[in-house]
Amino acid sequence: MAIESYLWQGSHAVAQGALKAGVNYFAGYPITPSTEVAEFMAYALPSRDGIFIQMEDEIASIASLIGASLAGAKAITATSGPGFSLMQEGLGYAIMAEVPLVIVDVMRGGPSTGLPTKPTQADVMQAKWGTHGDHPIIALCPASVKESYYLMVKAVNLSERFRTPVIFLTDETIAHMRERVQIDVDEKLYIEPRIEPKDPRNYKTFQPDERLVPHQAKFGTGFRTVVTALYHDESGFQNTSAEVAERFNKRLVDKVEKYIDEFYETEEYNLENSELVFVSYGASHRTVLQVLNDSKNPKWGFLRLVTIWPFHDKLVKEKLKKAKVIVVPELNMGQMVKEIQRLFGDTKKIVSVNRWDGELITPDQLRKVAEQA
Amino acid sequence: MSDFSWKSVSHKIFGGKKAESIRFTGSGGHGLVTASVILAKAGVYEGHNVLQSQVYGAEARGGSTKSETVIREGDIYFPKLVNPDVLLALTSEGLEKYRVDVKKDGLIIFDSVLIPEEKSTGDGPFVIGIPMWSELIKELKTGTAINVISLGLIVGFTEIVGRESLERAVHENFRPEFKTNNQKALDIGYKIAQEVKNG
Repeated sequence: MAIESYLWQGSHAVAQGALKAGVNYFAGYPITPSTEVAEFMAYALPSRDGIFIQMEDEIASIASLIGASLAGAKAITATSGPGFSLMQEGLGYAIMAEVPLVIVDVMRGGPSTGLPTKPTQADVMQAKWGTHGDHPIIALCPASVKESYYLMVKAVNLSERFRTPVIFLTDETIAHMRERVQIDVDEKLYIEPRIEPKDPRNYKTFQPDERLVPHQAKFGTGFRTVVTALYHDESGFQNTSAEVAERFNKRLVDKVEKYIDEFYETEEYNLENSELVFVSYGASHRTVLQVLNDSKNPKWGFLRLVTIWPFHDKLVKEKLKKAKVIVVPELNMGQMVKEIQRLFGDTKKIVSVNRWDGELITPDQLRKVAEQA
Repeated sequence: MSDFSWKSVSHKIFGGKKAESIRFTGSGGHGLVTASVILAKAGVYEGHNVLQSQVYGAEARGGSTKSETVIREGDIYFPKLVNPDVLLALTSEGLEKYRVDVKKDGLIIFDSVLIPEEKSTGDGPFVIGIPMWSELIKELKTGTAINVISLGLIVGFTEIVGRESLERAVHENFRPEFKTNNQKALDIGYKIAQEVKNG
């Protein structure tokens, strides 16, 4: 009932956040650097009447989450790039069937098995476009151990609120490091309830409410629930007519993107006075903080993207309107920087600072680029 | 042992301030990642800000490891050490790779049994070789507590945390049957550090 100090690993903070949010089902396949999340859940879930299953692979893992969630569980998995690749088909299914679940992707070096024990941020575009077809995606990205806890609660909440998969996009550095976390673990946090239909007689599996979200009944509770990933009408039965396809896909995207202001999150510093603004997220934000702390330059600031996807064009444009130079440090060859370039074209100087060798961008490296920009 | 006495450098070591950053390097199985976590926990017990991190390969045992602990009052931003105050090395590979990073007024502790040939440059950090492995064999008939004697030495030299906090963190981390040997390993570490400090 009080704030206490803990030494938490980032992965354990993610798992603690999941438990706080009411997660009671974990299915996954171990992979560095995400295994600590599974390890913690395997330890914690059985004693809380939850279920932990180590599956045969990541394809089965996400399929298992979909089934568990449709039966009423709050379900998550944790993986890294290679496993996230295998989950893309299931991810698409979950988006289409409007199944709440959270995939924790602890980014490591890729492509393929790549650099298992070292960080990158190279799954940013995979999180958005890894599965095919026009679809909404929510991806959140923490920059500290403490934030990993609170943001995981938010991730689970958003998956329930929108009935859609949420990607918790962290990286080897944030997930494997340990920090002192001062926290009240008994603190009451908002937990999004799953809305359940009441009347089986007039029930349609995909009948959206006024916020465009359908409230499906749990399987096995007496409702006639029909789920398919083919285009379907409100009843859930297959319907591939042009009219249904047009309407359904539009609603699928709108149910998230129209409500972006409800959940979009950034952190900012000194944007009012800054000629140079760092736009950062995750591990590379820690380099930005070090540079700003050391340089004390009154004309430098930052905008940190906590919500990575969807990208909020209007808000980001407004926040960065005073900046003359935008510096985007990323542990990849330049993925998020393309969104910034799309917003501003040639009207601002945009500098991409990149590293993909498994090491962090050092404060020295970033400061030098900023000084010359 | 170093050519210089501790007394001749004690006023300027760590810039006359408290050491706040430690890097450990060894081989997978030495337990130095565990050591860095234990030290970090001791820092939390004392109410400090703490960050601990590690780098290792895909091997379960063998392979070079690097682990780091920062304990300080202020915020900790960049999660990796660029220039640590202290390097503790149990392999030649790690010592040679990381010695250049240590602050000029810092401290390098290495195991003079596991690393018999240390190529001192004379200038720079205070470098001290301590026969940790043979001390453990002599007193405990086993070298498994080499990570714990390392912690005893670090705390003995730097007082980065108090002994009470360190001992609490060590004993909480291991099964009770190891308590006696771990306490002995810590005590050997403290004693050697004190002897060096006394000249």
